[in-house]
Amino acid sequence: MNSELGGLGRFAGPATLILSSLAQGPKHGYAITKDVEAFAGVRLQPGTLYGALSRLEHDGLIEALAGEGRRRPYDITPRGARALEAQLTAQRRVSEVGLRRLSTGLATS
Amino acid sequence: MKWVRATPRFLAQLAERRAWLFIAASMVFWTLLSPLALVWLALWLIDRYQALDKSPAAKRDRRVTRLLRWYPAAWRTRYGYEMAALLHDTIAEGGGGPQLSLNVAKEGLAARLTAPARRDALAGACLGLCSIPLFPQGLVPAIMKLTETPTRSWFLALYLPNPYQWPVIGAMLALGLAMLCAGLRLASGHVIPTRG
Repeated sequence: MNSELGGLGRFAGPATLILSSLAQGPKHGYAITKDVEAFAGVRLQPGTLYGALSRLEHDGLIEALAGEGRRRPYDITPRGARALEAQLTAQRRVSEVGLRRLSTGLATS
Repeated sequence: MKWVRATPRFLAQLAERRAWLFIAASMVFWTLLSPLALVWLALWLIDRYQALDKSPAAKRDRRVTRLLRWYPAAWRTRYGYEMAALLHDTIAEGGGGPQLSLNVAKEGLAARLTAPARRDALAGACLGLCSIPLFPQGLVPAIMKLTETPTRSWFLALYLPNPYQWPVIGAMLALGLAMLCAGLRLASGHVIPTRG
């Protein structure tokens, strides 16, 4: 696993989802939840979302923008984009290998 | 002197009187004042409940305030305002079940535990105290048991019946090692991952 996101421990999963959502453009908490639910089918609970957001901001992978009332949008930083790319590349490699082995296994059985 | 001889008797009488006073005061409290205090407390709570705004929006406000209290003050100052907005939205669209409370409580406690000052204190406590279960309550009694030394000193495991001695020594060693690992991990700035 990529060390930048791997260092987030249990927040690595939610962090990948959040960064993938922010790769499209800045969003606030509620918009991230809705977007993640739409593209991944995962409902991020508010505690999990803000736990991951605070870690990502602390690690410089996202940045907070000027607020819109009570909602504050976040944007992905260049460092966050690089970390996400590395993470998704690693995940794609794993999924490709897994799927290939699965299809080979199914064909021989 | 007469008054010197009388003093112990006077003190004894005074103690006796004070004791009776104490018993009398206790009886009055438990038989009269305590029920009265309970009734007063119940009435105060009922009055407070009746004075509460019971509209859905006010209930939601109170719940959001309660939920945010799980987080440390510094965290609330930075993220509390925007998280309150998200909690309002989540509850308003029907996502305010017990799972929400459990999630916020878990993450709030994790934030408290990993707050820098708290983390340093916890790391210090773990590293400072791990030697007690590890050495005097784990390693030393294990050596004493292996060498069949008759002295039990203050080693807890050696005071227990024979079948329980090794399990307690093992548990002490495990506790000491766990504290050492947790202390080192906290001191190095890593968060201990939990399932989630």
